[in-house]
Amino acid sequence: MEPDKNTTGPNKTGIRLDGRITANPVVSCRIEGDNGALLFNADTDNTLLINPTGIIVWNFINQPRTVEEIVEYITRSCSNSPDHATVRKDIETFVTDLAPDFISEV
Amino acid sequence: MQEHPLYADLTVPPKGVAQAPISVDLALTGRCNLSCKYCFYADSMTTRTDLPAGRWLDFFTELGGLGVQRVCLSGGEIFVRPDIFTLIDGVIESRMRYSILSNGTLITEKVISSFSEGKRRLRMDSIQVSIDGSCAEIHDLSRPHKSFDRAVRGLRLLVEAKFPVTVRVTLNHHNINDLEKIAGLLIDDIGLSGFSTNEAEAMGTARCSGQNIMLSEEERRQAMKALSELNKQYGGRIGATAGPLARAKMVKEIEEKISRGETGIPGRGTLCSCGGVFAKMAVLHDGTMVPCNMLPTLTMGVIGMHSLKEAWLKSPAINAVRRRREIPLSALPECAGCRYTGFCSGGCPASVLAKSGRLIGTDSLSCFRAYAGEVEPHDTL
Ligand code: SF4
Ligand code: SF4
Repeated sequence: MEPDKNTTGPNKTGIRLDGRITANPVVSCRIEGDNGALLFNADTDNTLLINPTGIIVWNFINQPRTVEEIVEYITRSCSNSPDHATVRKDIETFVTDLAPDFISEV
Repeated sequence: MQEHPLYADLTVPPKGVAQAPISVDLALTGRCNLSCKYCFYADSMTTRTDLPAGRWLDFFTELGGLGVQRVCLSGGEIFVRPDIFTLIDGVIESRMRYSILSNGTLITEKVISSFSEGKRRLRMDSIQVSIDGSCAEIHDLSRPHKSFDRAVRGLRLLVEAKFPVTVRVTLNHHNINDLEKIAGLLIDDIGLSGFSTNEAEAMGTARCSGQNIMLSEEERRQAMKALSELNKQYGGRIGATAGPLARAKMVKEIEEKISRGETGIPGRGTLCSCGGVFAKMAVLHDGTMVPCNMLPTLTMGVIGMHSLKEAWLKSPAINAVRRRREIPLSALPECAGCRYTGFCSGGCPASVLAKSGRLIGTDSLSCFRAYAGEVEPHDTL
């Protein structure tokens, strides 16, 4: 599926949603019980709390992925995932939240 | 029925413990070029040996994998390790930030320039140097041999190179009349934004040096007054989490609340003073994991042989310290009948253990009732 026209260019955090992204290698991921995990960028000293679905995405982007690949992976992995357009919107929001500290474009 | 903290299963962590520590204090060496009169780590330094770099590097990988965010590197004196930058680079490689505690004497131009490589500066949170006097005659009495000039030189180099440098002044028998000059040296002359203070405690070499280094109660009260006044003069730029200034703040807070008719402070009334063990732990220079490097006898395991995560969650040694906070002060014999329990948190468990040989008890330096003269201090030391 083609990405939405209005979300492909660099957004306010500078990340392009039509390219490949991967986890920033200086970021560690700390599991916080059932609540999710805390990402920590050791260079900038910034943290971000992510939910359990965010952890699945985080582990998946340990190598370069497109947003569409992430959407497909999440749809396959989660039995009760919503429709494709909703997942895509959620993933785009998540990727935007991760940029620029926690992911990089490749 | 609620489980009694004294008989609890200590292999199970209490509620509120994170899956892994957020930070870990690492004593990277037991060697030191000085022989301070109040070195709390002195007992461990004589009985344990340093781990080789490889063991530390493997451990850093384990820490990074668990999402530990920071380590504090100390010793002994970390700059006696010729491989110190290999270790710092290992911390960086494992996605952590770091801080350093140093006596400052081995910080040279070469050391400063070594920090400019890679991400060594970027990842540094702070570097702390110990200064105990405004001049060699005073500083060297507690930190021999002839260390003042070298420590101040190291400090000035760090300041000039704009490192995130802090200074710790340890109050002791020799420097309580020098506080104004120390503040003048550190803030007015060297240009620090402030400094922190504590007090020589009855541990390690201080226990043997006794009153030749530790403050008497009279000196402590003198230091409380002098530091409070100096701190006012310097606009709150003198800090303390322990020692006379922290005690002065505690006394002031309790006196103010009592005068307003209050009977306690939310969250107090139990042995709750140490929250550190919920977020951090320590490793001694031979790899022994402990809840805090001031509690070296509470062994949780050994790095490389035992998993840090298992030790962190399941070690009875650290869970015993954590569960102290469930013990009400009113249940302790020394606190029977005290009207200040609602204000009190019982003091540092390491001080309690060092002075009385037990973990379940209070530190008389934190005892407001003893300060008010209503009872005699109950510690042995
Ligand atoms: S207090 Fe620090 S500088 Fe002094 S002897 Fe102990 S480890 Fe060395
Ligand atoms: S003030 Fe002293 S006697 Fe009272 S509860 Fe605290 S430690 Fe115990």
